[in-house]
Amino acid sequence: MMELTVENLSFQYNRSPELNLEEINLQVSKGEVIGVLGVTGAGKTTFMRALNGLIPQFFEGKISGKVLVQDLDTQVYRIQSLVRRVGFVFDDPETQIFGVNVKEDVAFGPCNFGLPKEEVMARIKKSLNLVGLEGYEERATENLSGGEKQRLAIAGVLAMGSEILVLDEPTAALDPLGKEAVFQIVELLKKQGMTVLLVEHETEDMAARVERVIILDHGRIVHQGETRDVFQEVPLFSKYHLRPPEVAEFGWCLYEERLISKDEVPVTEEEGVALIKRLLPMASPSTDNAVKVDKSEGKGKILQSGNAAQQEVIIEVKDLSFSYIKKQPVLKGINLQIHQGDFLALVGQNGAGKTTFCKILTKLLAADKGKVTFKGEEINKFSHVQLAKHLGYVFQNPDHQIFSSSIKEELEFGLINQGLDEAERNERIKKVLNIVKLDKPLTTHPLNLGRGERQRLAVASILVLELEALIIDEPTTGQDWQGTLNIMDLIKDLNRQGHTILIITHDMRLVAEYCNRVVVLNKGAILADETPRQLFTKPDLLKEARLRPPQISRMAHQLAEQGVPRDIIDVEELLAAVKSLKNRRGV
Amino acid sequence: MFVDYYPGATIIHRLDVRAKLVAFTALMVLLFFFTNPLYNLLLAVFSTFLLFYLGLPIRKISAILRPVAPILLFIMLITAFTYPAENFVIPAAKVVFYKKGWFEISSGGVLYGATLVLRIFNMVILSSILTCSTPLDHFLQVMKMSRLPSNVSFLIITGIRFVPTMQKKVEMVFNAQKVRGANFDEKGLFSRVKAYIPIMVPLLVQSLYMSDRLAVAMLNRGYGAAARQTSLEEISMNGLDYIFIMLFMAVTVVGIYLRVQGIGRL
Repeated sequence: MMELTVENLSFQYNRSPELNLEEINLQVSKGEVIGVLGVTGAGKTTFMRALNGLIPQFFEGKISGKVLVQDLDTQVYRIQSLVRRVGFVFDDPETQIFGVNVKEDVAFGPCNFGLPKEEVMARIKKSLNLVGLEGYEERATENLSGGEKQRLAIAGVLAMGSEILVLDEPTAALDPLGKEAVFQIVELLKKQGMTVLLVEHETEDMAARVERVIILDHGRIVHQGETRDVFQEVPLFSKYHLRPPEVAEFGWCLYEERLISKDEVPVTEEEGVALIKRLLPMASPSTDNAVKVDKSEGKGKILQSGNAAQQEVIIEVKDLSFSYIKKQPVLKGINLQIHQGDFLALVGQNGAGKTTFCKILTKLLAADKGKVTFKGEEINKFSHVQLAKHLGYVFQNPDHQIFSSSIKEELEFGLINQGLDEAERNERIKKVLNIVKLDKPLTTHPLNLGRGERQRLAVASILVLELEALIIDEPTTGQDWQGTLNIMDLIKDLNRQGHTILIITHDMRLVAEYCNRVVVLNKGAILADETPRQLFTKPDLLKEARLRPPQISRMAHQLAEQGVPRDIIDVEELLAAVKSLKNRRGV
Repeated sequence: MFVDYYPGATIIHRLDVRAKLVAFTALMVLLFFFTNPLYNLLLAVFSTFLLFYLGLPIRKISAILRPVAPILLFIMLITAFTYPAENFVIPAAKVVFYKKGWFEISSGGVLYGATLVLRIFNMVILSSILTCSTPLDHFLQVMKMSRLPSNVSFLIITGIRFVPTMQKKVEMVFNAQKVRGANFDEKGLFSRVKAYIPIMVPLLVQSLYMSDRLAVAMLNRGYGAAARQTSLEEISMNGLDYIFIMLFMAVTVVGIYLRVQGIGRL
């Protein structure tokens, strides 16, 4: 018997203008780990909801076809019976936790089934062990980090005894450490023979962990196959607006230049390293010590940092300290100068003090010690209203900053506060909507926009104010690759027009691609302040701050013996390095 | 008045929440038995002693009392000026300090004012003691054990569980408006209230959105699968709790006896 059988499944939400799922067929056998890829709106979540009966029992609509969980038809059995077999973990850690403390939350499922108390206790213990939260029983759920909350959510599902686990973008809201922990749990569960469906945008993390991949687009399965086969077919990824692992992109270029066969295209970091080692036998120091790769500055990688440094200092932070609770400093003596025209990335683990720092810059919090100046004037001398005319702050979650009932009102809010008249306001709104490429009627309610569009609206609401400096907190969280590129390109354009940009991000690939400067915050202190290229050549420092450089840089670090330069930050550079080394040796 | 749990290992911390609730109720009833401020003063000394015994920092205690202080003063003044001597029974309360027309300040008025003030003081202090020595969780367990339908207690518990989440959301919306130049510092009640309205709208929308997601998450965890849910409550009463309950019941009985005897009147 198959664990999951999906036969000709089509579905359309009641208010949707088109089919949300179309003719889906899938069979999953016990112990399989399957990755599900697709852009936002491709139907991934809808599909997953159909697996435990949420569709059509909770989310109503027109359904045809059939879904069987083992032998249970999801249109016949209650959701409550189905969830004992299919556990579902959502992307948002906030809204799936019920208990005041950890133990109670894990118990929620088993208690709902009326299991005997001893059995419930045993299950709590077992599932907390599995997710690495043993000893957390009495902790208040409210005080857990995002990563811990997500692990708790997994434990809660495991405690119900589900044999099939559906993870819907479980790491979307997590930092790298939190992500890593979740992926480790997936591996552990795989070893224990659980069947897992993993919806994820992080293809690099997926490649080594799933056996089979399905790609969804416009509600249909457009491609499926063994992980290797799918990931080696790199053009598929651009076709469906997905981000391939850097290593596969690199391999595909080699394949196109007929340097390797298609079957040799690597899909994981290890495979990539092995491939290059094979292509480039050990370097003999005499010939290879002078390898220089043309590090093109087309993307503005390091060139600008030189320029920006000569520019006027726009924000200056001197000896800044801050603590929420006495004797537990969050920021310890920070010194930083941000120049006009900088595109600066603020990176570091959650809890390193990044958001706190930005809140102080925008006067949402007051520093305990030290001072912040904006263009030479202390920000204490500005009122909020005055500072808001120069410095903008885009928060992480668009839903926390959109508060009006139409696009127009949303964009107008700050403009009215600035005291502009109506003609000028309309002019600005028109202009900004053009920049962010949001072509919906002005009366549209923000909640009727997609997540990507809401993020753009949030950026637009600050942009419209035409400020000199912008702080943008994790602009790409929860976005698919295409959405991420759109937003980053938008920010890049702003930077070119002279806006100073500070972004908080965890995505080192974006840092490498877009920023001229990266500041590493670790335990409330600045650990490094340099170009991304310089930073990525310092593994010890990165390790201390628990940052993971882009996959391509990680690979380059392991290839020093082959003569590959350490400071490589993207696919083109590695490709150039490998090709020039290969030519030189005439291999 | 509702103070956060303040961890500690005192006897009060260790007592079962039910024993504490009994004692709390007994003391609350006793507060209203006597109009003579002497008895309430005694209680006030007792409750203040308990408060210090719990090891609460002075700063926290003053944070509890400061907001009620003006109200206390106001009550004191009003009662002192508005209760004429003929309302009182005992001679000490019938002394008139000043009289002009209907306006009269009597010793009884002052004393009765003192009683009211002490009552409120005691209520504030006792409820603070109860809440800061008992984790919220224990109250919730009592609620679960009571005969409330499980849906109702789940509703309340989940509601309480999401208070901090909503607080965070309020703060975020607040900040989002601040950085776009919203003026919350403006003088005048009207403009201030007006500035807060835009906060309520997104909050309402957010909570509707959240409740929808929560409903899905509940189903996902099998809510409503079995007619009877297992309960894991662990609060249990021991000897000390029973002694405590007996003691306070006895005190209440003594209180009733005194009251019937007409002692403690003004």
